[in-house]
Amino acid sequence: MNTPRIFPQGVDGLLIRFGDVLDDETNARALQFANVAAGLDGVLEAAGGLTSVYVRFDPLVGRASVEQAVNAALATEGQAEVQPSRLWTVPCCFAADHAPQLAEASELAGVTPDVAVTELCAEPVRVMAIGFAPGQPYLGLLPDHWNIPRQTNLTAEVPQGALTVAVRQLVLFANPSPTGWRQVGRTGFRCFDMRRPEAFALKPGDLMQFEAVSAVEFEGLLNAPMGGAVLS
Amino acid sequence: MIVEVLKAGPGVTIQDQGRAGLIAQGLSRGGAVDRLALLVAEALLKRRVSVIELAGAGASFRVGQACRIALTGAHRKANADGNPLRWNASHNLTAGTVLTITAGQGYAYVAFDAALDRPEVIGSQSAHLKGGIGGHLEPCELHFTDARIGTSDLLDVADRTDGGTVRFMAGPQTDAFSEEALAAFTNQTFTKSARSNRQGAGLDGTVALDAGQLSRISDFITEGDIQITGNGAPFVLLAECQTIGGYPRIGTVLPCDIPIVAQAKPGAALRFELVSTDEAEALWQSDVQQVAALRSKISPLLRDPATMHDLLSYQLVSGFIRGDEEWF
Repeated sequence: MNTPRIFPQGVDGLLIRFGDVLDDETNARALQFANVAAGLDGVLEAAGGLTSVYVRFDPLVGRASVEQAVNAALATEGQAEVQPSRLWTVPCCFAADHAPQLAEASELAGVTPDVAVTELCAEPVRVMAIGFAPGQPYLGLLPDHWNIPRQTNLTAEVPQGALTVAVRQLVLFANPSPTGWRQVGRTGFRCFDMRRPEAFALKPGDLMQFEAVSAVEFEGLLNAPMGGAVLS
Repeated sequence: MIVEVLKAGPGVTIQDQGRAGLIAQGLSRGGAVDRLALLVAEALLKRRVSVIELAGAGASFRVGQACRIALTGAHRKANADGNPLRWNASHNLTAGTVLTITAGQGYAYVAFDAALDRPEVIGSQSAHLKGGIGGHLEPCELHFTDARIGTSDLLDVADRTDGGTVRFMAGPQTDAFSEEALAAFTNQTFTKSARSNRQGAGLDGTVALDAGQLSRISDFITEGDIQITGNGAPFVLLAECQTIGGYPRIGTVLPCDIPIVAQAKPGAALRFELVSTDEAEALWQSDVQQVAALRSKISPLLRDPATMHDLLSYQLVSGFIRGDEEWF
């Protein structure tokens, strides 16, 4: 295991970077250490990301003592274990109107659109991080040929529930948003809904299995609870 | 007390301290974009308040009973039943008064010396537009409890709409920029762009990026981060920033200087000065420390000659004993 690097992230925060390459092991380390960091003295919150952990601390406690506690905890870091996870089955529409950049993204990945859809629905992807917007998942990892770049120009807006792809990951949008990721499908999934008892649907480690549905089926699911997604 | 919102342009929202502690859920703190303006209101009214933020927009209100207000943040023209009101000050309004604030640049704040009676969402009454919590305030009745009157005071904090020098500290991605790129950044004068909102402040200017910096792993972003977008233009993240993003960040603006970036009007010049982490920490002050410092700058707004010989007695009527007194 490589030695994590610690950086300041604002006057009241630090970032612990576990690696510069995104893989399952680095991500599991980050997610596991976030739970450890949350319990350290002076720490106000901790969040696990793709390859790093963000820690916000009380500046009155001071960076030095928090860094010391982080280093002590890192010294006894255990082997990261993939936690038992929940599985969401999520209907997703890949029809033209709901997948405006499927052809473009497929071409970059070197497959036909049909093969792309088959691949995106072949097996579950894991929530590797929550962020950007409330409850919004970064999902992965896709096979290597999906290591396609983000766009240089932003799409002005993808809709809520948009399934987008870049750099071997999928992002399922919580809200309408501009993005550099290419939209390859659309779900009725609501990542965040404050009217629900569980406002944030997903947890890091959750699995998502996409199931292709027709445009007609999709329209019917838009107003269903969770857009027809089922948790098992 | 009922306050009728008679008019509110787009960009008028209810704000408070925001919701700290939800980065793991993907929700940034939000709250008032110009936190200094929120603290000025709290120093003037001597209580924690929810405020009405006017992002460029104007608004008008009718107060249902006698109540003190504070006007803070970006200067606007304000009047009570046609009588002009000083900015960065507290004023007593009589029952039925119509308070009008004009539209203008930047973020202006209206605070009522009362407790807003409104449900909280995840521990806050603030709208988080990007996050999909709450929205723009429309004509309605706002209900308050514990409305108070008090002294009319002035708290003249520096106007911060003309830009200036903004201090920043290194962050996790600063070392991805070459010495030359960093020097080019700190030697450049940027101008505030109209592409600014509660999420962030766009700047006109260019920072050179190499291709590798655009293929980074998405990582955490916090308020104050200076993100360099694909076309090289910097974007300083504000209260409603995204929590994770892919563009490289050259550093993080100090909290004490974020109001300068947030309030700079379009076209205002902004320069960036790199300070050490130690210096950034030495400049940091808690809200309690800031409010205490602000309160020491308060002066009576209306100096009635009859009271001038005995300012001590003036001070004696300004305090109301409350349970949250020690917060100040």
